[in-house]
Amino acid sequence: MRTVNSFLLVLLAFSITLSTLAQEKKTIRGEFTDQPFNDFVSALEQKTDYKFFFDPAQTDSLSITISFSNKTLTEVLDEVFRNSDYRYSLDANHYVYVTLREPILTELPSNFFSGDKLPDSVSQRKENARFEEAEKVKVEKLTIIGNRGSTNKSTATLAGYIRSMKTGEPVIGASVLIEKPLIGVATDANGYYSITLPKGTQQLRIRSIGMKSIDRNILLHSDGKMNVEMDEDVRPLKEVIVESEKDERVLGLQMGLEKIDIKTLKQIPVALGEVDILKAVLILPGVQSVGEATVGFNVRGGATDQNLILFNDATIYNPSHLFGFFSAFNADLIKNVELYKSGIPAEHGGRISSLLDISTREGNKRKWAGSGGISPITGRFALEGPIIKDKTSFLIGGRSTYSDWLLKQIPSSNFQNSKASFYDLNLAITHEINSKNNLYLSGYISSDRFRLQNDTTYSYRNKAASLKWRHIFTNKLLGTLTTSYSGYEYTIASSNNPVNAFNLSYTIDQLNAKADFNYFLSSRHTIGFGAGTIRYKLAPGSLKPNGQESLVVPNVLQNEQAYESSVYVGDNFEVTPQLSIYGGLRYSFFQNIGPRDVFVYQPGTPKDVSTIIDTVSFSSGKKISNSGGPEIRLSARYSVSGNTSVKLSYNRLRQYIQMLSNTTAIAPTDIWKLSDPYIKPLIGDQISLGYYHSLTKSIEFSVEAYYKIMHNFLDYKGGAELILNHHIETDVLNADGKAYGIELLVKKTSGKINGWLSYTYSRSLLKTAGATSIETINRGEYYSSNYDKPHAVNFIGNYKFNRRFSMSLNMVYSTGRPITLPIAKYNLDGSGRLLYSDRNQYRIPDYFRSDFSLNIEGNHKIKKLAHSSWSVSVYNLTGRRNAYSVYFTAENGVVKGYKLSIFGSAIPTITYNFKF
Amino acid sequence: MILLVGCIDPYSPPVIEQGSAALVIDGFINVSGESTIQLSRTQNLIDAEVPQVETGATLWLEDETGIKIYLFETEHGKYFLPAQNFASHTYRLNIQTQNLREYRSSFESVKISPAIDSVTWNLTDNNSVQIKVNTHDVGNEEGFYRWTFDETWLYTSADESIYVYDYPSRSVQLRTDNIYQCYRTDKSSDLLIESTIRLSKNIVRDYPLKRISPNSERLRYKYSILTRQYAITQDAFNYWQQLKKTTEDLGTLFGPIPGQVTGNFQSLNDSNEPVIGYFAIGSVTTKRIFISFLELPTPTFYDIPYRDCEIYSLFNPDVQNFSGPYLLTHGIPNPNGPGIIGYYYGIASCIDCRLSGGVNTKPDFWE
Repeated sequence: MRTVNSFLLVLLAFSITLSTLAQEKKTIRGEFTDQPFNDFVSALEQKTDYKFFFDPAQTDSLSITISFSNKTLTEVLDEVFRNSDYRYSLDANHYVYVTLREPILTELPSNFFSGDKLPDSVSQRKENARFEEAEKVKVEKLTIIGNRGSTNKSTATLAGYIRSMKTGEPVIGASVLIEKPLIGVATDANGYYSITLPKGTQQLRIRSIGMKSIDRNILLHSDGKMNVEMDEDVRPLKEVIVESEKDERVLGLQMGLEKIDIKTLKQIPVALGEVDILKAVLILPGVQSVGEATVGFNVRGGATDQNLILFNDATIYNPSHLFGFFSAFNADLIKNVELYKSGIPAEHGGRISSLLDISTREGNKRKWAGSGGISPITGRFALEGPIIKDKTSFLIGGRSTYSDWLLKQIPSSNFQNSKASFYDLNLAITHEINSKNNLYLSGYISSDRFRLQNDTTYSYRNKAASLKWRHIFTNKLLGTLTTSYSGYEYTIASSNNPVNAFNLSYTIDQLNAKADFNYFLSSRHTIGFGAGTIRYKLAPGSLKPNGQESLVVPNVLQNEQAYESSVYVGDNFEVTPQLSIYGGLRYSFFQNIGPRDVFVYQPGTPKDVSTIIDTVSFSSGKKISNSGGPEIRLSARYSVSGNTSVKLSYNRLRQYIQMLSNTTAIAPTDIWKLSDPYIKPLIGDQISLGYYHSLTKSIEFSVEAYYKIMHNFLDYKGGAELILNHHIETDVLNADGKAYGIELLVKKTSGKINGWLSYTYSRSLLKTAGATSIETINRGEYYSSNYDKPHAVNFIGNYKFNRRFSMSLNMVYSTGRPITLPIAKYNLDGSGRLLYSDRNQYRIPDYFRSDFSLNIEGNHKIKKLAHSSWSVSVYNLTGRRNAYSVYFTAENGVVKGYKLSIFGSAIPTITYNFKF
Repeated sequence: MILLVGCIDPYSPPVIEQGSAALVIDGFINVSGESTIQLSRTQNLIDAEVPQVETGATLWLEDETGIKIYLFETEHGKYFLPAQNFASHTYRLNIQTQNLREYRSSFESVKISPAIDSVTWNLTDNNSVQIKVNTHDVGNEEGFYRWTFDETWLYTSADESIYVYDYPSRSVQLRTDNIYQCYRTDKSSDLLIESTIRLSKNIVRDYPLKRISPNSERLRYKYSILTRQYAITQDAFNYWQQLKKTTEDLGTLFGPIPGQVTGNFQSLNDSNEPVIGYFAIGSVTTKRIFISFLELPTPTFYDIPYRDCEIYSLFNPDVQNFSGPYLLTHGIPNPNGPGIIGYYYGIASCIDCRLSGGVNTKPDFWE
């Protein structure tokens, strides 16, 4: 019946077309700024005798900005829809049909009555689609899903993808919800959602950061699919940010999660003109570092090696460039950054402190685009576009430095002989095989090379690749298969003295395969389960002669191999609308395998070369040692009221690979060590409690408190030799750690002024109490870890003057980090020497820094060749010489104290960014 | 365009009072000659006095069979052992202080140092003199070495003093002693250690001992360096390396965290009491070389302490009123005939080379 009606409509349109051409010559004028399409249409309908037909669901996110005079209707419509996916057509009845992508044909094809096959461009499928669109107009933007009476159940599951209309990229974390009763879900990392709703008519609301909100009326008969495209909101984005983040922080189940989207990231003032993910992470409450320009960060009192850094699912071992001045991630390509400080879901494991999940954008599926920037230190460029339109896209980006030039400008001879260079490259390819299968390929490489003061050249390199296949089995079951490779290597080379010339190198290779499934059991249960395994292969050190004359004896440590496997299951259960709980169990299992020779030590004595009693050889693939155990993850959220909630979480994590380092910061010579018969895996337990409250629509307040216990922390004996040590177990000590703290955060998420203020009180303590005095530090009492900074205050404020000018100010204060100070001096062997205090008994002066930036955007025309922006920033506005370290040195027999600052003055920078 | 200023400022830590001063044991037992062990105490960082010495202690070496060799105090805090035969292979050092606290080292084996192959030098890019040591040992696979040196150089004061003013007789006489040419000797202060553990042979080539700036006073006439080489144990090497790291190598970006360095002494009364020092025993081998200014390019200037010295004139009638911290140098020749009409003079510290830290007697070894 429907087909017949539509057919008649077309036929009718055809018969009257010829007589109406003169009407279209009539001219009109008008002016619209950000007008909803509806209003635009009514205005046109008043001025002309045309009637518009369109699907409001398709056009409700469309807003019109145009001014015209003495134009015909067709000229106006041509301009409005140019470069958009909307098409229009006119017919003889003065009806205007506005559709997405395919225009309504108001005339029959010329060969219509000859019985020939229709031309390809007007296939039958498309005809049907068109008629359906036409019908939807009549039922007033109601989307019908499923078939009436196909099941007896009272609920049905609706699933699909939410994508960006502009780029075709998935919209992550978009809320899909109905209000009565309140049922909501969020889209996952691929923009996929699955929501179980009562059958019948519902108003489905879709909300996301930076996107125009969409409300859809749906009539749900049975399970079905609905993909929705959201239009980018080119107006100031904050109104939308509020909705989504407020909901998440107060209403979401997850706690201890900090999200940084790229827009927030770009507002934070930066040192040396480089938008930096890790620097932004350091402004979050609960995150510390030992000093500026150091590699790595400390989350809630954990060490720097206790953070799992995932870049598109692949582990990154050294996240920095240029010994810590920059992070190794090109911010232009980043979609979002998530830091889990507690309540880590069961699907993740392997590090006990935190998870930093970084994902890159997908390339634009619709058109080619590029972006780039120039700062005093680096240049960067990214290009993206479709390979197959709407199906396959790519994104490629690169960044490199001219820091060699920069180092030469530093007025210190130490730096003049130095060289430093780095680059990083990214590639991401996304392919949609069909509506149920998607493939994601990502590749990453970062490389650094530098020489400081002397003749020794350090170089290191991260490599990562991942391939992810995502398959939708049913509306309720979704599976992801991920394989990834991560590699890290460094080389230290020296060649000045031919007798001592050497090459020292170190390599980690990690292969990872895992399968993750999400099962949307009902609107109250979402179950995640999966399994995975990691294969490690480490070449923990090889020293080789460099050159013919070198007498260096090749010294190669045995390779280490291991498997780390895990299975997990977790359930997100909404007990009542007020109470949600998450229960997860992960079982991880670690096997260190041969080939390898292992020393056996005399039981009951400290491990030492002199107490080795035997050497056991393990053949290839043979198990040397294993460890493992369950890891429990629990979270609960209770909504006290609509704007107040309380959350509680407990989690245990196990870590089987640790970094060996006895320097203050991560050094390029630090090595990673797998658990073995002597190095026990790290175990971390954390319990945390949080209170979240929305004071007003845009201001929220939260308090999170935590207590953490860490077992088998590695500590070192005095004079421990970590490099090329064939028996590292003789030089390390087992410490226990505890950390606790409270984090207060006030955040204003929207308005002309926005930002956050946080205060953190936290402690991080270690205890090393071995059997003998050599194995004991500070008499076996608790002492501060290197990154124990009890008080920290962070402030970020943004002020938007108008759409083109905005400024940001941030301020960071923290207690100085602990150090071991000399407490007395003495003369020995002709020179003044120092006697040091207990480990970490004193502190360096407090740290304070403020930064300022001004961002100037180009004009906001949506359509233009290239968008450009300038960013002027001043890092360390007050020029305070914050101590990086304090040290004492004997010079000509006299002991002198010095304070080393990395940034000793205010550093202004200008950066130019462009996008096309 | 950009100011990236990493900077280093002087820093004084908060005043830290150490409870009680720890005992410091400094010295080495030389089996090929005489030895001295010095005992002193640690002092607070802000303390400007010389360290307090530990006097009245009893020190004795002890071998594994219990045979004791006593040292005796020659000066306050200095304990002396004359050259003698050492029959055993291992010894330890015992100390009993005046207040009856006892300290003891672990047993250490007597290490025999191989001969120094050569001490050489070369000019660096900026014409500095780099002095290096070379050695090898065939008997032992792994070598651990420590070096110390005494450097001696000839220098002259601002002007030569021919005359001396005799205050009792208020007259000028010819000077009989030499206060123009002096020899100054400095001891090494940096820790100089090296191991060959990562080499296939026990060879040390070109270990840098000392670098001298081309403008140094040391290179103005003649310079000599006496290098002493000690073979040490691996534990001793680790101790000195730790000490070096915690006092000389700190403050670099990847510097190690400083900490207490534990030597091989222990307090028998309280095992937590810090005791500083490392007892070692062995032979010493030495090598002396000379460097003359004739072998070196001439620098634009010498960085000598006499650069601001001025010479004044004193005419004959005023000679009998001569007084103050001044010394006469040459006579002022009579422009109109023979004889002198007065004297030149200068501040004593400019004229008497002994006031700049040297001695005016030529050392025995001087060539």
